[in-house]
Amino acid sequence: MKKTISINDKSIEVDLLNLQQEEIHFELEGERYKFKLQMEKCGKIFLKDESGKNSEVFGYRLPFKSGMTAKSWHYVTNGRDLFFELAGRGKKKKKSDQEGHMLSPMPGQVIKVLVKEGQEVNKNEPLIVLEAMKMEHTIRSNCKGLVKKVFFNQGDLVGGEVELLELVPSKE
Amino acid sequence: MNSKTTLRKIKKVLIANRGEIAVRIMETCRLMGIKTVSLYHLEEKELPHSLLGDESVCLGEGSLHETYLNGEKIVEVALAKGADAIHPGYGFLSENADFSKRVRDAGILFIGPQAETMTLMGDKTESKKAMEKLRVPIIPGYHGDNQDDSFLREEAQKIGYPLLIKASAGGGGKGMRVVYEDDLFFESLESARREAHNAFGNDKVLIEKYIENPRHIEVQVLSSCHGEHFHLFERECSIQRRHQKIIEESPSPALKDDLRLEMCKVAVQITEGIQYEGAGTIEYILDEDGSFYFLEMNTRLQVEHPITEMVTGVDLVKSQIEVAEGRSLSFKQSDLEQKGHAIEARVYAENPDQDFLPSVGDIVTVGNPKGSGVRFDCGYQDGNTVSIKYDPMLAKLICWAEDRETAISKIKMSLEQVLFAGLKTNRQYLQRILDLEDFEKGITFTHFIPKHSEDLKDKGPTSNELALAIAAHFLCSEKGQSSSSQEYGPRVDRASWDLLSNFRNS
Repeated sequence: MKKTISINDKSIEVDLLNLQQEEIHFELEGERYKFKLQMEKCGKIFLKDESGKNSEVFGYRLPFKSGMTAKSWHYVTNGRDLFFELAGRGKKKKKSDQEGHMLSPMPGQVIKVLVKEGQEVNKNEPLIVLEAMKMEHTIRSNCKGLVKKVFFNQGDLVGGEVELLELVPSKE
Repeated sequence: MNSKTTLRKIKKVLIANRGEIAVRIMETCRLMGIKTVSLYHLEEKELPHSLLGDESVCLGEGSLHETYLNGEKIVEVALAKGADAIHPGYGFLSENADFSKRVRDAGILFIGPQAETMTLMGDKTESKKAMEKLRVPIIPGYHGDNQDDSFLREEAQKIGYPLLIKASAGGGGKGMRVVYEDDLFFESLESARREAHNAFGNDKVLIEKYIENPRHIEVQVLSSCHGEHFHLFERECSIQRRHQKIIEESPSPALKDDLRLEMCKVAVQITEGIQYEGAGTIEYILDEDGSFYFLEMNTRLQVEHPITEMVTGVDLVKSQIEVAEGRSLSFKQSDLEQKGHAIEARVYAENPDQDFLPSVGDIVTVGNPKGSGVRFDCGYQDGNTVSIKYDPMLAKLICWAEDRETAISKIKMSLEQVLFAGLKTNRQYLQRILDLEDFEKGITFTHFIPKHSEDLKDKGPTSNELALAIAAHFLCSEKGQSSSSQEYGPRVDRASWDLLSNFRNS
């Protein structure tokens, strides 16, 4: 049974071969793994592998918030943070990866809008300055193009992952 | 010119700050039998600093200017609560001379230096002039009043690139820009001014020579009003991101005994020269050739003060309180020595793999590292929310050991126990820094992070790490389906298990 989990924003495929109350057997990236659950308590999960090696994993379900499209967990193994997301259905393509769509990387306040609608901009040109946690962050264009729409004014509060500005990429 | 001639016992302290530093000050007050009054923003009702004071007062739900920066209101609260002293912590009003005057005019002790020295040291231009008079070495630059754009650019060209634009009233990396090319001067100037204006309400800047391979070394000083001027050795704070320190250590691996002595001697020369009172820090830039320049003096407790406390055994907050009471220091310079090695790592709510963007959200659980020689100064607890209003520092991890090598391995292990479940933090990034050979060898300059940016990139989880988390995920999800519901994690709702069971059957 194949499962797909988003781990740290990367899609990971797991082939579950056997899953029981206290034992799991699966294939991941061409390797087979078998673990036994020793104990779990207060977010601490103790696992034993086939060779008898014990490992400790911290695991926390994260509270669900409006606007979230997926359930998420935070695991820590070996001091490494792993954020799991299990999507309900379908996957939203992140607009931030698309040319011309400039998203706010975090919630904050618009300190300055440096461009006007209809203006031509080069790649990496500063467009908008945001402030959050007392630090300034300059949003730069991710392509060369024409400013189609600026969605916020100076002084506006913006959320995270919100489209700030739309560019029409120029064909070159 | 002693400002305090009579002893006055402090019985109740109002802490005009928040987060980990408010909690840390409360701890010393408790040890000294002093009652505390803490302040909080309405949204911070559940944060430790709001809960742990003997009394706490809500400052409402306004902006910073209406709450933690509202000196008038804070003094009113102190009077109403019968506090006989105010400790300002760091940041906020800690270096605001007007606030210290307001406090003292109300008949309350201000735990900090005299207003005149704060004014002097708070102005980077004036402080450098004073240092020149005291024959303390300073970096070449323009620190004058002429703020005309073209004039500043001409001065910049005289000094030569690369150079640094800094807010005159600044600190903490706010309103600071490095400029490598003349073409970028105006853009950087405008940006530095704007940030300075927003952070300090003053957009005056200064420009100076940028030293290519600098180390940030600072000396902790402590003076009483009885003419005692001591130093508590140095801290090296060269590991910085966006001009903010993230890893600090004491002693510095770069200093031989004679240079250390020289830097500490100059620091004491400064505190004697300005008749300082209280705890403070003299910051220097150390060049590779061993020459050092005065950078600034912070007239307050520093974020990184715990490493000094761990190597010297002095409780700096206790000393600050004693000085404010008008007492002499309880030790002599000759009693002080640096024992062992201490390292501090600052845990920030930010994503180092995405240009250090601040991350906000709810902390499900805080994992506290423990052990002998391990100190965790933390401003948050389970269930708290991190908002965009404040500095993204969540906690400081400080580890002490007999030598540097042991201290490094100890802090690396302790960092694994630091956990803010639900939040992206820089914890792993700190581990990556500590793992680097250059750090191990003490080759630490202030451009350490940009220089090692490739090595510091996330290599991604190993297959084994992924496998363990996946196993934990499926094994524990399974359990949650049973009606006895041995749930893991503090917040699990039925819906998530239903979703998982659907998922499993698909």
